[in-house]
Amino acid sequence: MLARQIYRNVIRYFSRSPQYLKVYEGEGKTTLHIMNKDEELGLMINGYSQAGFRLNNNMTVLGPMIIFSRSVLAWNIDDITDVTEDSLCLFKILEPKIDIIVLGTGDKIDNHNFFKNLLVFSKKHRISFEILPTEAACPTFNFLNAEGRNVVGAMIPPQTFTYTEDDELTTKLRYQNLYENN
Amino acid sequence: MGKVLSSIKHPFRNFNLEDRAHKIIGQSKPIPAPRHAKDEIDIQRLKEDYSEAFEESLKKNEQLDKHLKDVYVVSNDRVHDWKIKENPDRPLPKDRTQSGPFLFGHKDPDRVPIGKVILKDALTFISQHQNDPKTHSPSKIAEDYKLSKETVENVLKYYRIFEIYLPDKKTNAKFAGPSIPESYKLTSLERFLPPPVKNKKDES
Repeated sequence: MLARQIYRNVIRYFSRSPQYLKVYEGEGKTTLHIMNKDEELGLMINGYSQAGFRLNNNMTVLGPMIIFSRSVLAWNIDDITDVTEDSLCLFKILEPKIDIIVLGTGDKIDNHNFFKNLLVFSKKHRISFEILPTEAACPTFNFLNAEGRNVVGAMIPPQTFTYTEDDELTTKLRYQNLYENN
Repeated sequence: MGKVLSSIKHPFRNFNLEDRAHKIIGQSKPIPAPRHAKDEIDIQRLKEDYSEAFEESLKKNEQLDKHLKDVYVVSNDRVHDWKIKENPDRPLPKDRTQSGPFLFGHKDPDRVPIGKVILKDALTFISQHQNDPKTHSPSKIAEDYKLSKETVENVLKYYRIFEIYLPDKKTNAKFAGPSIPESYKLTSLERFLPPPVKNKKDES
């Protein structure tokens, strides 16, 4: 199981941004803050795979999930076609009202028919959606959560995704089977 | 370069500058700058043509002077009672301390409207139903939390609490999988199974 590490993107963001390069003051003076490691900011997604998600509290969640700022629920659906008004019913009864739902659709989708159902739901209950492939939805959720918004992530694990050799190595290191072929 | 050339051109421009400046400022009435030759001719012509009006303008007009002295502006501030009356039902906040860390990331509202539920209660009834579906049936939950039965059924159908599985000590990773019944039938493999036996408990 290969999991794409998300927080690597955060490091890249800081190191490549010209704004941060300007303020570089030499060794020992620059600090790096990895958002996912700050427990006060709440629950975040560290990685994802075909099976599920890895959260920043060292938990691996299997299957589609609903992630709140500090709690997580299993979402009993198969794929994006099951995302209907019924399967989103929890969000319409929650108080205080949810600011935004980050919907990770799994793989990038070309058939946008399911939007019709969501649009009705969104207008009826005045809940805004951010619909993205799961690869993009995970960091979006992390940033929105770090900002302290009342955000909900509804994530479906992706079936296809790109990963680097570094991701492969970290995954193997985690499961301590570096010298095995799998 | 311009500055160098200028200092060569006007070597005494700044000589005794301050004294000269004070001398001009110190005059009781400033001397007007000389007019252009063409303007001077025009003004002389006007003076000759309208000599009466020119002499009139030099005199002090008593009428206009009186008008000016009579004008007097007084401003009075109207005192307003700007203080807003406080609504006893919704008192303004007086506590300025930072609100503490909340279990679910936000403060739970004091009043929950009918048909709504806070996250804590939602998680509670989902887990209660999973542990004991008979006592915590959808209709009972709907009654307790003032929700519609249809919504509760959908919530219980689509949302589950995770069960935590901890693997052997060898790996560092922890797993949490969605809660599913402990024994279940694999429909795809059903045809390979022998015909059903009466005592089903042994099979599972």
